[in-house]
Amino acid sequence: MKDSLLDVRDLSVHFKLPEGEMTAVDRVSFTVGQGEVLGIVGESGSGKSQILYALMGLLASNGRAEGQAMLGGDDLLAMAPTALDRVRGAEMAMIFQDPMTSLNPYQRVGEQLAEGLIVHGGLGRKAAWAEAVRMLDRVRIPDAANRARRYPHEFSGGMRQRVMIAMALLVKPKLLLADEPTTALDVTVQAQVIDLMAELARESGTSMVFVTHDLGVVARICDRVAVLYGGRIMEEAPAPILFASPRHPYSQGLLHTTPRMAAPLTARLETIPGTPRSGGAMLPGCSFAPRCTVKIAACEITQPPLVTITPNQRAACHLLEGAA
Amino acid sequence: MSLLSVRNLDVGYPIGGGLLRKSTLLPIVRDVSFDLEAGKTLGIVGESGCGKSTLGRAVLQLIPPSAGQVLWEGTDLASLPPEELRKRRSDMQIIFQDPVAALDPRMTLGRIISRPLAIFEPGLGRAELHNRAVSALEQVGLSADFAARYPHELSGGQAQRVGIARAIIGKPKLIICDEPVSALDVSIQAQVVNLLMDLQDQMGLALVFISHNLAIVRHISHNILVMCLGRTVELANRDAFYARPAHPYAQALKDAVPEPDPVVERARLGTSLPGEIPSVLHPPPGCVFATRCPLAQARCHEERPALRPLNDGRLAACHFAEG
Amino acid sequence: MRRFRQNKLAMAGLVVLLAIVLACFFGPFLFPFTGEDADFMAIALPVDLWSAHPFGTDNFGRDLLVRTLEGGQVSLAIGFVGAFTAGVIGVLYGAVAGFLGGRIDGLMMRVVEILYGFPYVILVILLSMLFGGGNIALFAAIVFTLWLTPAVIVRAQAQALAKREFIEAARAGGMRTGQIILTHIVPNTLSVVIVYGSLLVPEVILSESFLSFLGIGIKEPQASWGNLIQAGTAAMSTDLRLLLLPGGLLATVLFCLNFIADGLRDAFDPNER
Repeated sequence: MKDSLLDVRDLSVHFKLPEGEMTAVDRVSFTVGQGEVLGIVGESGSGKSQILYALMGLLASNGRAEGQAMLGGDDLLAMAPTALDRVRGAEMAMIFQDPMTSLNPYQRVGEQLAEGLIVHGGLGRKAAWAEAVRMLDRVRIPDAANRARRYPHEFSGGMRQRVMIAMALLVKPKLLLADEPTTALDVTVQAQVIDLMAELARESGTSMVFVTHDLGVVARICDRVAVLYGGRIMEEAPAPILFASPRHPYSQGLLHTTPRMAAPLTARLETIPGTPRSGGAMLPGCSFAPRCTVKIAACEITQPPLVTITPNQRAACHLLEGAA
Repeated sequence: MSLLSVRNLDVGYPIGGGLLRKSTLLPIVRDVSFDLEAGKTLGIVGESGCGKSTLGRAVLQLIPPSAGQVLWEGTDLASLPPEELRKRRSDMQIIFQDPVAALDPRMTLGRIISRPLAIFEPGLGRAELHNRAVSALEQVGLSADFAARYPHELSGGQAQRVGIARAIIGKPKLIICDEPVSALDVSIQAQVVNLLMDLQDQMGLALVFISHNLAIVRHISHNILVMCLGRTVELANRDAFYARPAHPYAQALKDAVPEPDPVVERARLGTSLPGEIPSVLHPPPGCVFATRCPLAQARCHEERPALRPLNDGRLAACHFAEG
Repeated sequence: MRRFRQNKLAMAGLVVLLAIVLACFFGPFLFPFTGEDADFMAIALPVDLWSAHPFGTDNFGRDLLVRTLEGGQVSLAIGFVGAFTAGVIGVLYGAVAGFLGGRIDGLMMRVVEILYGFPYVILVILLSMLFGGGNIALFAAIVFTLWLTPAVIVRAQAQALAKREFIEAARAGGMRTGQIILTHIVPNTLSVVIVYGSLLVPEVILSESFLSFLGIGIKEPQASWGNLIQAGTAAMSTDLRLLLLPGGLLATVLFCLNFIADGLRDAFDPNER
């Protein structure tokens, strides 16, 4: 799409293991528009985090990415490490899941924030520090000027995550990648952090790719959603449409198995049988086939392509091909 | 007489001690009371620092309470000599949040599951122990060949089933479930919760289900206990609670659980509760929730509200809860 | 065990080590003389592989090869038995201290630290005198100084393990403290213990060699690799083979033990199954 900020085409991630090569992500394609929040939902083994690591060039040494990821005019996957360094931290930033370990415990928080500005923004130390304090205030850290002089262990989990957000947004990136940023937080703090991210993204026009396993979080902040299973996209649609009428059996299963406060109580919760994929070879057919309750013969033989069902909604399922 | 009666339980954590200096007790659980009958589930909810995990362990005497009573079938567990307490251990078991870490990495699953049985029924031979382990595995939905495997070969959901198999092998009457599904994938959480409910029906188990996820707790619990900074803020029947929580903190918790419904969530965007959870080391005077409560007034910061019964029989610790 | 066999380096080490052990304990029977028989007609013979004295003799006419093999008996025996004893004492001490924690741990570790503070040689001499001199006393003294490090290592492991949920599960399952330590704690420290244990053997042998080198270890005319190496070093400028044979065997044994330790550690790691 012409006005998209990020255009990922056929991204694959493979890992070299002692027992052979393992595919974590298999030819995934998606776009992120300007100022848009794309949610990538999946369980463990879906490869969702690896997508972000591949884009940031942070894959483990035994990992290898294929495909194209166009940010502006540049292909992130084809860039040399030094060129990627300039993009990382300037145009593209990432927030990680564990706020406990993402910050340097030996450096004051203000310094860690200012570092990015000095390196990428070319600011002097005093100016960078002032910016850092302003940003801490922006992310609602109380008493920001004094707190900036403290060390990470003096902050709670929610506050540390807000520091991470401050660090990421300080350089005014065009694209923010978030890998389960609220999973490790308490539920009231999670709500605060999501609200903050939504507000800041809207304000600065930053696009986001938000990886999570929590459908509720997706409903709160994401404009569009891609549902990932076994390294492949199962369904992709704008959030209201996905939640109101999911078409793929996995999306439907996920929605039904997530307990809702307002729904009437049933004797037992709805489940998806089986366990999520963990390693192993990619299946010739649909990755979800082993757990799918409505599969047909074709599902285990050929991989269903991602087809457009409605102008906005795509799904990869043999049962839906007629509707395309 | 209830199966389990907890009365005014205090649990402290010793800090600052050394070889020559005595440590002081930091209160983690303060003045908690509840009753639990056979075949029923008490859901205990709260956020970090509320003391719910410590409470669960204190019931089992894995952490010694500093005050109060834990009455098991009428007898105070803390007053029992160690041998008598050990004899009752077969009646009460626990499953953990990190299912793989709860299994000894050097033992086969069969041995892990049958170990408690080897303690509780010392006369059993190896073959019998193995058979009982296999039947426990089948009861939790795993095939017999799992008995020869090792913990690191398991997925999270399978490991939790093994933990449950170990817990039920001695036919206990109570199982403390400490955040048993928090570390599991969404599609597996429902499986494990259903399994626990099935076992409750089959075995008449009493369950204490500790969690921070109000949506999951709703399905499995008969009563709900909400904790904040070691204290009970609300204790209510499940249906009454979810229809309308009486305590502002309970309401805030319920509102904060993200619903998989964009219409609801978008409307909530920006309405999150401000403020930080107070530190356990420096609890505020007055009501534990006063620093964040939207209804807080001067009285709330000075005077801690007592846990009192409301009109419909539930208990709430708030100056302004109706009733 | 199968994985150990697949590790070629470790297997080679094991084979060579066994060969040396067998040679030391059974080899001397193949010769008509012992290592202490002095033959004044055959003083300082050079290496002559086809003669009655294949590696020659020393200044007293004692056959060097047999003497070295007999010395090996002493050194290897002290090495293995000593390492095993020091290891068992250290592991149990460390496991108890680490698991119980609190004041008991504090007390136990203070004892270890005090013992660490003593200069090694002085401690050995004192203990040796305390136990009445002689080889058994020497053995006891060496073991007494060497159990400290395994204790410290295992204590750290035990502390970390004590916090793991499967230990809580064991307590909930009614296990007594002693049972938990033996069934759950000690086996889970095994991989560290095995690696360190196999390094303990050379340490004991070297210890004994060092003491014999100083003259306070195994006394003449009884041979040990330590005092043989000492004699060999003294004669290094004139007759290198007095040093090379015992030295070479000791070095080979140390190499073998290192490879075996690596192999054992890999084989015992359940994560690699």
